[in-house]
Amino acid sequence: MKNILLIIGLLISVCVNAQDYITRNGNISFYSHTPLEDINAQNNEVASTLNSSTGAFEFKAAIKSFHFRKTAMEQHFGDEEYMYAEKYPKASFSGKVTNLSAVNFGKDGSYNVTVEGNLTIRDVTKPMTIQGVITIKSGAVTAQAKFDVNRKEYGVIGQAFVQQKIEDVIHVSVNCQYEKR
Amino acid sequence: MNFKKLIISSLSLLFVIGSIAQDVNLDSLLDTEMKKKTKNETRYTEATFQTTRLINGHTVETTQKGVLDLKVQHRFGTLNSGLYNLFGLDEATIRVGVDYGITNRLTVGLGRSSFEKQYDGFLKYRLLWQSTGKRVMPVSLTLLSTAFYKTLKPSSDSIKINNSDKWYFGLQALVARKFNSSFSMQLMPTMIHYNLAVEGAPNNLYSIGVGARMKLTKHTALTAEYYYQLPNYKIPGTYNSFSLGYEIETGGHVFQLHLSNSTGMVERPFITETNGRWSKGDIHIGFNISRVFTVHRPKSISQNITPAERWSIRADTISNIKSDSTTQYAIATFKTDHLINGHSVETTQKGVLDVKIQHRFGTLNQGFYNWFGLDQATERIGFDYGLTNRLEIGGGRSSFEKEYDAFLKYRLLWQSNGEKKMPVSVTLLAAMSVKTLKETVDSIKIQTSDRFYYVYQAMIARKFGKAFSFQVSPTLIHYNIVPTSETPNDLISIGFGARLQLTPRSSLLAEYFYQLPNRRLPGSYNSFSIGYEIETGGHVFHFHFTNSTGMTERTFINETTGQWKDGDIHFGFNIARVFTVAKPKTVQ
Repeated sequence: MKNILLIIGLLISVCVNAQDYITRNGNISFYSHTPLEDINAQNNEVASTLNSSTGAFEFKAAIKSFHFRKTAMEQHFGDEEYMYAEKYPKASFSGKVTNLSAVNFGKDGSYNVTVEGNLTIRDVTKPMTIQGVITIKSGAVTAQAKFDVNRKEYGVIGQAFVQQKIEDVIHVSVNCQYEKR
Repeated sequence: MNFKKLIISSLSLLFVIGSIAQDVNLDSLLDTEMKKKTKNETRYTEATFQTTRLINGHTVETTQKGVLDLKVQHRFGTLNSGLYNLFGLDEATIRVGVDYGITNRLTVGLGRSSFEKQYDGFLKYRLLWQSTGKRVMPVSLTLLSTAFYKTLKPSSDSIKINNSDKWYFGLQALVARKFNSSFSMQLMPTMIHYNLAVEGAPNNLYSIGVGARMKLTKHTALTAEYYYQLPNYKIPGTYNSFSLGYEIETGGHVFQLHLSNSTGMVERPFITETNGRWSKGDIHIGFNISRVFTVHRPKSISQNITPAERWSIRADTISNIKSDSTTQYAIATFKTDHLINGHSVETTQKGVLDVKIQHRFGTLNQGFYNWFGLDQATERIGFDYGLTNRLEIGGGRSSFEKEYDAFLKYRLLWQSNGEKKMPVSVTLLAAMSVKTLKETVDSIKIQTSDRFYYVYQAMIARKFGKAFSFQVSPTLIHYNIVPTSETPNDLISIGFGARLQLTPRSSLLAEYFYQLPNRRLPGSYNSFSIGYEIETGGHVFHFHFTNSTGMTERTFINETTGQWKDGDIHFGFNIARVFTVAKPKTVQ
């Protein structure tokens, strides 16, 4: 009897803590700066989940949802020479927080985390380690990170005449606010 | 006791099962979100046509807000004018115009055609925009209203014209639908109003146009345009305008090449005054170039035209000699192989084909009526090819006197520093030209040999520092036939040229050819020119003012009949574009 109660209690406690955090309006933005041109894009429709017990992080962003200030850039972003959105409509990241024990989801505060995972752009998947910050405030979870991507490694080339206007290294920022599922 | 335990454990189990974290499928989550979004938004169709003009007439497209679209339209003579006139290329009319987007739906434009010296201005409003999604609109509808002012003076002074007779007005409703990414079609019911009706026709002429665009590849398309004039509402003796076009979008520019039986390029006269017929070979070649400038940064829906600039230094296309650690060879004494009218020491790089289109207009003192000479244009089209880095072969044809020319150019000495020192570069030029223009009076007998001219030139140049170069060109031109017995057949002159670099991509140029007294044609003046060149996007654009009409050695050195002090100043501009035919093996 006691054993069964103990087991049930353990199971319940495990379930209470393993709540998933999810967002459908995460923000991912990126910019590139060259003396000739600055490029800025925002995506506010990123879908992402965070598993607080395993530390699993997943992000999926639709290429069509990246918006640029210059409409011409937005139109060409999905072209075959850049993101080839027709064939690869989404970009994604799948990874895990390696120092999950450093984060206390029950206590308000900012926690520095290291996330290791795979970044997929077009048809190229490469491992990436990203430094980020998870902030807990009154139960709401925010994940923020900044990292660089070498676009040529993923096949995002563009026409010859724009090479001087786009950096090879694109600076990406993530800012997602999660709610409990 | 057992029963209670069972209930508690089963309830707990259910609770446990219910709250075990289930994996969310992010893909389907994202898809559902996207579907919700697209159902709620209206997607406006973009790029029904690639630009605001189909071939002659307008398309439903309007210029993006804050964008200035500069258009240069060319229409040549007819193909059936034969090889002598280079199938119409010697007769060119142009229209230069600007379109400006006040809003994304409202465009205002102005232009001037050299044909009939007509000014045109228009307002264009996109009333309906084809869209899918929340609001569905099957077509785009644009209203166009234009005013035309023809300034060409009547051929005879006895014809009296009132000012109001020179005005024409056009009203059009353009209805278009983009069927899919490859095909768009447009209908253009039109009315052109003549203040002064042409005999046999009413004041209001009605027609209906039909146009289509079919995409061939990502950047090219075929276009077609036909205007059917309603019987009883057309000028007798005119034909319906039919045109076929091919357009390429490259580097942010849209080039349109076309064939048409119409001479004019705006609604009046191309719709209502076409006298040519396709069946008779009255086909004109034409081409239009469009370049956009963003004046104000726009926020919403746009056209497909993107401004692009390629910043590459062109010194790598004129030949360079490999500098090693001991000897540094001077590169880019001049930016191209021509100074203004004459050659420079530079030779084209091995394996590179340089296509040049040179324009020379009439003189500024022709006044506003002839737009300071712009209505009279002569062109030379030329091809230069680098056989080796030192040996260049080239040829071309000038519409002025219908002259064909060919030359060989060899760079004998190359300025260098270091172990091998050479203070100057020396290039030798040998050229031959044939003047095919028929004499105005048949009684003047000309033998074929009389049409040939030979040019021998040595160019000696030195590059001083990074920004200044100077060249001296002693020249001998042999005339098989000369106008008077006192004139020698060998005319000798000495040319002076200089280049001053202002910025890495622009420079000032000057050129002067001094004819030796006793070795010149009577009544000719020395040629003096000043120019400005800019390098942008791999092309070199070159503008100049000169008192010479011709663009070959014979015509500009020895046969300049104008004088700067009299205002006989011609404006001209050249465009050069390189194509790498054979990639060189060594790094140059």
